Amino acid sequence: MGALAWVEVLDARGQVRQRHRVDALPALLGRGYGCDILVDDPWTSPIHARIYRDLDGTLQVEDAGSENGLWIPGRSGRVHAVAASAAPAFRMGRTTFRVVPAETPVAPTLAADAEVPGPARWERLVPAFSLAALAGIGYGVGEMLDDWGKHNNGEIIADAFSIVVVLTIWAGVWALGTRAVSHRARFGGHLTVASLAVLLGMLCTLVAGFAAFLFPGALTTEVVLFLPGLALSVALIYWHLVIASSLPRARIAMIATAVVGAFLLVGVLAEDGDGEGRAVGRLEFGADLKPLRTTFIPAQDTAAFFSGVAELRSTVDSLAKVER
Amino acid sequence: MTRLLAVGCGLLSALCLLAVRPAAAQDSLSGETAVVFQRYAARVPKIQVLESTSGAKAVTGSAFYVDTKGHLVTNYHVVSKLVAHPERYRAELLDSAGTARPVRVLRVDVIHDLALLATDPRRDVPLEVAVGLPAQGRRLYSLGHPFELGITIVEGTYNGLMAHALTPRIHLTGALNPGMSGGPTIDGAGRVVGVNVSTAGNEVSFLVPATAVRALIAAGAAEQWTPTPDLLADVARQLRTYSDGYLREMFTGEVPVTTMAGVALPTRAAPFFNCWADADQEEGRPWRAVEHLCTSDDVVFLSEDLWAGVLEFGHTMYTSDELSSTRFYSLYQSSFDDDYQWLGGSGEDLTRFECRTRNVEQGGATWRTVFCLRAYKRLEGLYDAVFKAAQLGRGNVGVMTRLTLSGVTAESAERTARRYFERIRWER
Repeated sequence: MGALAWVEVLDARGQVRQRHRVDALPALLGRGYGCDILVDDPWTSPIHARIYRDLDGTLQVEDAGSENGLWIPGRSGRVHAVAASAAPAFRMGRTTFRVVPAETPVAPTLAADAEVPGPARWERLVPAFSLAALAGIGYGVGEMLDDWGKHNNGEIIADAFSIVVVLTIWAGVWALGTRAVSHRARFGGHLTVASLAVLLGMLCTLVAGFAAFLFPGALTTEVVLFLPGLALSVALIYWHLVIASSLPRARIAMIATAVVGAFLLVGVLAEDGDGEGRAVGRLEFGADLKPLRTTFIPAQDTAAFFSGVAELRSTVDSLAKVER
Repeated sequence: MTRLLAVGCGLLSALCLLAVRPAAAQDSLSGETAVVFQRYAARVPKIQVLESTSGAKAVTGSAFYVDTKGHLVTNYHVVSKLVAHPERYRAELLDSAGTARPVRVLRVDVIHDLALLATDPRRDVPLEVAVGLPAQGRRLYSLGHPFELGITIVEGTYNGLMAHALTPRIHLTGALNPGMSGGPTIDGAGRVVGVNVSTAGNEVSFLVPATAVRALIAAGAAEQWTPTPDLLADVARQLRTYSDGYLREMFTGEVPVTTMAGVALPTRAAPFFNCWADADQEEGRPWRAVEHLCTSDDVVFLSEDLWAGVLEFGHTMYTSDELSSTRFYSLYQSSFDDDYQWLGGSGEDLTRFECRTRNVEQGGATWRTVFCLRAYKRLEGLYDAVFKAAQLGRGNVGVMTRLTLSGVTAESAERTARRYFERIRWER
């Protein structure tokens, strides 16, 4: 007779460590020798959990009056009875397990000559390194367009190459971290994510430059560059963490936001530490100049410009009053 | 830029010493100089501004008695620290007997760099202040206390009032040295022709004319020698009146024009401007810059790193045959961003600059236009302003212009910058 279900005990990386066959329901889980499935975990109760089939025929996992309770990893609060299919895994004591009904489908059989299944297409090395190279080339092209001295092609190529190297190291560090908590490093995935972030960052800078040139005052560089920059940083950390861990997405989004927020806070505090903030001699001209035809440049007349200048006076007057 | 003659502590260097003719060398001087020295040296005491708690010297200079009631005249820049921070500094004079006496500041004329002091009278002999100017080439004698060398006499030649200056200064050919600030320059009869104030090196020295000294003494006498209640407020008032005065008509009426890349731009808008042009083309560099700069040299000393009355405007034309327009604009942008206009000052005296940047149509062209303003914290109603504009949309040609004003009222700064900008025309 076939099994009714399997209980798979998982390790920290989510890999199956042991499988226990369930032949009869209900089945008891715990440390006690009377249980159907024995767990060598001092944090579990002698009879900790019970698997049974409810009236609808659904497989349920239930707390059998344990000391430390039944949990679903990533969610808060003990659970009492949950359908086996409603949770990817359960935790009792320090043991993580999942309950797999016998009727669960499995992947189709590989043909005899099929290759070992590899990572998803976007995680493969060729697209990942192509994106990294594109980021390097984009940087190099930008440098070349900006160069007004005697430009040195060797230097520009070296700079472009260093972008690729930095991306590779960055992705490598993330891959090492991923390998520590999961069974695969997923280097390609990390490199793709980081390269995309750099490319998007360059695009943002370009757009911000044109926006600051065309609409000074209306959209300041701070807003155009700062907010997308912030969003991009959160997205970068988010995707790295999605690749690296099996935590729920909502939790990862919170962590990514918190990390970027912490960096931002440190930055703000460090700036405050300078005392006066911006130096009294520093002039911020808003010097974004682009070679556009004047027909494309929205402009005001001289009278309108100088009527707005009066605002500056009240700003510096109130600064003087506060600082006096 | 001229150099002021007050000595900060630690300025004594071997190089400067060479430029000094100490009193001991008077045998080599002409007989009249020896007579002048003997007769008048005692009327020129040394002034020391001391840090209150430590008693350490912060500034030394010279002064001279103007009456028998203990009133003296020196430079404003000798006692400026005391005026700005009476809680941190005190001042004293060292008379010819070597006795120290406390002095206080009665009133100041910050525009001419003069201060009227008072001390306890002790049978001091005053110097008479001359009426009118001496003849060109007249021999004059400057007295003062350079460095720590004791009372010194320097011979010089009167070379008239500086042409086209906003504030009158006497040009003296003679080597004034740091520490002689505030000392008198007298004729053979002991009449004060001017007050030692600054040097441009190479025996080119400057004096505050006697008329300003007489006016300050008269104002002091009219107020029964009572001290001005709030000296800093008075300094601010003087600067506001002064700057409103020289900016009132600036860039109105007929203004001479210089043309760069088809753009007509103002030049030497008043006789006190010095204008010059310079082309900047290095071998093998793919772009060319031509600069036209006008400055007035009439700055007003406020502190060692802060000058009011800076009045400067200039234009730079950039062209390139080799650079693509994106590369050219990268150069143009970095040049526009360059905030070399370092006006000095610290956060103690000034707020930071606030700027307004817009694209503006003016004179048939579109300009990236910026106006920046910062306020003086301790001198009410005074500001520094920087105006800057760069012509847009001409591919590999660009004209940039800027105007810098320091120690002016905000109304004057705005009005002057607007008039300046409205003078500019693109004559296609």
